[in-house]
Amino acid sequence: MIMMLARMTQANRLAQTGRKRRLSLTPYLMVLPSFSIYFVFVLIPILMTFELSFTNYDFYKTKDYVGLANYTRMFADPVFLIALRNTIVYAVCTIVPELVIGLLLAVFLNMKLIGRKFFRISFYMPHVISMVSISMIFLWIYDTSDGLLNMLMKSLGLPAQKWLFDLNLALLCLIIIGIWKMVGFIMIIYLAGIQQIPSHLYEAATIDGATGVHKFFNITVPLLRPTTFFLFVTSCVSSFMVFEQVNVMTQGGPLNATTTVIHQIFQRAFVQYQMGYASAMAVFMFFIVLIVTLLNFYFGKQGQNVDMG
Amino acid sequence: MKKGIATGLTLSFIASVLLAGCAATQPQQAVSGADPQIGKAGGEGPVTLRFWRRGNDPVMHTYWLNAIKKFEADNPGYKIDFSEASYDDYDVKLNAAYASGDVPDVITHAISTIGERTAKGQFAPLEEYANKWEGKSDFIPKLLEIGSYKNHLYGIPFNPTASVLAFRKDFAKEAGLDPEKPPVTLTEFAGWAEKLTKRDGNTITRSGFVIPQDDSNLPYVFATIFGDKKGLDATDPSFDTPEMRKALTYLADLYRNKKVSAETTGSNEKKTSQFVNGKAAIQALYPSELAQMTKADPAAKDKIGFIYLKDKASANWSGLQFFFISSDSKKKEAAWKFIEYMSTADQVWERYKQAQMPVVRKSLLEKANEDDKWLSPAVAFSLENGVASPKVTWSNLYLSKYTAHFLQQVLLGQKTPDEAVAENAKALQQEIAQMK
Repeated sequence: MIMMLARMTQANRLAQTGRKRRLSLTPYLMVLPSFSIYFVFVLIPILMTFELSFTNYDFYKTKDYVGLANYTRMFADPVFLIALRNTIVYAVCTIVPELVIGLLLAVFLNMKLIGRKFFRISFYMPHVISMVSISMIFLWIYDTSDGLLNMLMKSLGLPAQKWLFDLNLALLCLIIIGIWKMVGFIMIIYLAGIQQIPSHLYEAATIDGATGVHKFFNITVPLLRPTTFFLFVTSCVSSFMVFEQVNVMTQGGPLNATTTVIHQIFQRAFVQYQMGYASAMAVFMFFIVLIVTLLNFYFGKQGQNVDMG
Repeated sequence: MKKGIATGLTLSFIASVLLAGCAATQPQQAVSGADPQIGKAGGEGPVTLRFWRRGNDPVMHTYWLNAIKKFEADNPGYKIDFSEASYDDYDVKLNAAYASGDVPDVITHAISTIGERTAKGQFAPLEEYANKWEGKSDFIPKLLEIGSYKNHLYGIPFNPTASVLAFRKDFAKEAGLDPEKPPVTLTEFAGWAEKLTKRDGNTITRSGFVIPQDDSNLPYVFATIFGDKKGLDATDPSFDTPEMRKALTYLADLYRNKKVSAETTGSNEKKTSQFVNGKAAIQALYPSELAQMTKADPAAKDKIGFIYLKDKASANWSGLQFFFISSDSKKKEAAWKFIEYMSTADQVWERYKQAQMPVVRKSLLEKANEDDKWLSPAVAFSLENGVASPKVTWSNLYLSKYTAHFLQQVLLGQKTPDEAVAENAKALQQEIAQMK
């Protein structure tokens, strides 16, 4: 018995020594450059934002600690609450249509169609154009006097609309732009996911008499689950960060109907010199995005164990 | 061996990143610490001054490039590092510069910024230089006074941004109005705006009078015409006056009932002005915008006339841009030399000739009036009856946030004028208290 224990202890020691021997510095040094950049340009600014959120920093020399004053002010600030509501509406109304349209486009453009490559490029194109350029184009499209959309409305015998100047339509106008820009990216990722699905699954389903719709819902959608969750995370983050089109097209108006949290952070920090308050908003946003991302990761794990072999 | 190479490469990379980060401030410090006299003597290289301009219109861009070239030629040993940004982006850029400690030496900015930035200590007082300056006595005293804050001179005026109420004579003729007898009273003005508006169904294809939904100047101009006397001297954060309510009622009537303006914002107007594009008949414009128009089409002068409104008083928006020296600048002497050069009668006249920029020197007033019988009277009217931002620490909130907001509430029919001014005055006071 004692001999056995001694042998086991010796074996453990050897195993530990082996592990020590395998512990190499090289991989750490390999990640060090990228981590250094991450540390300087991401981690330190995040920590500084946390610190600034407890101050009244005015972008110059005033920087006194004010405790939780910025946070209590935030939840009593009607404009911030409107911005939060708009951001959530924007996120909800862009993410679902983006995923659905992107998936449908990917399915269609995976089929053998004439001009398939042209359509793939065309749908992907908006994603690589800068949002500022897109905003300038859409400013003309939505123009109330001689915009493309109102011309179209008139030619169809419909009344012209005020689009970006209408309290009820302005946010919808921005949502449509957001969907139009993101859908191509989602389509490409889904396309890559669809092409990973083994064809023999579809062949077996065909032999079993499954229709196209059955195959879509019982093979394509379940096997794309990891892709869907990846896209859900990226869409959530980009939707919560919506800013450029708001700043270029509406400046948050009319009457804050399109202001978002990021737009408010920009306004407070860079226009109204209230960096401390803006930092508190940024910290709040950080936690919202973090929670959403963690939830996505948690639920996103489901489906990754599907055997596609 | 491989491990050694990898370690070496990684460490060199980190070292280079860190050195690059530290080195970023080195040349700046070296120049900042330089004696401004060194460059003149041709000893250790030129003094480089960083000069930032608010605005990016092509007319003034060309002027500044030429003026800087001339300054550098006349002052060997001085170099100007010139940068400019649009009105919308300028404060963002400037705030980032102050936050990073990498500030320009000479800055141009408007009245609205004096209270806020001076209170923060961002601008240097200029008496030390101005009291020895010969040109000071020739400056219009009122303009120099506006550049002062709490008994110290901070800004040297160079650009009275006096807006003029311009109208299209050809459109007036087309609408059966006499272009030689423009409206004077507010009732006549409303009638003109209505007649000059063109529609296609429920769409306005040509605005009779442009009312940007978020314009923070128009309410003050019309309130002053109705008799409000606050304007530049406002020291209490309240816009809740009977005259402001009348002004809002008047503007809402033009916008909502008479429907004289297509939907637009101040920001959209800066991108593509409806008047400049021929899509508006009456609009408040800056002389530089008209200069740009007449430069492109000299015949445009014959098509444009000016309106001088009067009720209890006359008024027009008349801002003023200044040269400031950053309090963090290490080259204040050199910065002052640059300002002094750009404030000479020659440069003031050059700006007038190239961009219709109103003159700021008394000795040039008559010459300007003689030179241009077209725009000068309108500019003089605006300068005389000018309304501008108050010089207070909260002027930015007062105008850009709350005034724009209550005008929009009224124009969109969300609040009555009484409700809008009362609600926003209260909100502004609360925000000022929170800032303190």
